[in-house]
Amino acid sequence: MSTPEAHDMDETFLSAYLDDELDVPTRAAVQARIDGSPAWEAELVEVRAARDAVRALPLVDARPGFWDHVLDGNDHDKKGGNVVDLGVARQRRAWVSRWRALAGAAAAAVVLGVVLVPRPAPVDPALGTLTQVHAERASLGNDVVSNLAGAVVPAGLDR
Amino acid sequence: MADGIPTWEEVAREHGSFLYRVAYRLAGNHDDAQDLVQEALLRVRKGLERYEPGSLEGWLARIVTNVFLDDMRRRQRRPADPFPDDPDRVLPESPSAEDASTDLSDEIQAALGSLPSEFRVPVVLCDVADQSYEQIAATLHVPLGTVRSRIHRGRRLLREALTAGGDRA
Repeated sequence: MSTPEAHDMDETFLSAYLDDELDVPTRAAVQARIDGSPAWEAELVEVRAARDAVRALPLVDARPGFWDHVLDGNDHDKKGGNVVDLGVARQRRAWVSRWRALAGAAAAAVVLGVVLVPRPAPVDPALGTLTQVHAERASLGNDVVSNLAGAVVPAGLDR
Repeated sequence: MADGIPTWEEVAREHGSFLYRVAYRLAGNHDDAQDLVQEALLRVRKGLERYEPGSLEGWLARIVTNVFLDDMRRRQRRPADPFPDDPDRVLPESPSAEDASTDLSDEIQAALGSLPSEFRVPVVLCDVADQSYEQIAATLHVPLGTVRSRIHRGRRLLREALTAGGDRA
């Protein structure tokens, strides 16, 4: 990087200073500028923090099985293992997403259908209870037909 | 390895992690990073015969960067596809499950992902792939001064994004 005149230097030289990408005279000129300018000094602190943050990011690796998948089959496939075309992979994922969305919509429709389908109204009065009462009375030796008459009107059986 | 030229398998085994690291920091998520690496390895396979022994990682960084930039252009032509510059795309799916240090990493990755690609790429190449400004200039086909300026502005934007994120928290 050729040495710029002092007045040509802007703050973008600070990153190059941090990265040790300046020749000796330019580095000295930037150092002098930092020493004499609180604004440059503050800017240096800011960009250093950003640089350190990215450099401190943990090493990430692919999900388990990815490399096995890539490397398996390398002997059989001269194009290079199981690597697939970028567009094809993305298209496949898009299809899976669409199918998942469709399946979700179908499941939601089924649930809604179950909830919203009209059900038969409960019978009023409860015929089961009336029958039970009648059976109990009849078992006590009363007149069966007379006892049954009480159940006829509430159950609407008199028509 | 013959004549200093590695086999495809050696590249994948010994430098795959490097490729993945760069791809992940460019793309911001595992799905896209895996796609980028696979495409990069295809290009490695095709280009190995032309590879001239030197900085292998520099060569790989250039390939994965080109794959990323090609993909960006393809997505721009088809805006229906999710776009990596969308900050939501790089946010962690379930931040509550992460520990504090992972939260910080996610925050930094999200800030990195929010940078326009013209700044994100040189910053990643410099700070993740450890490439010199000269190598980055060659990869991006831009002058050295442009690399210097983009790296600095990228870091400035990154700092602002991190500070803004910290203020919101």
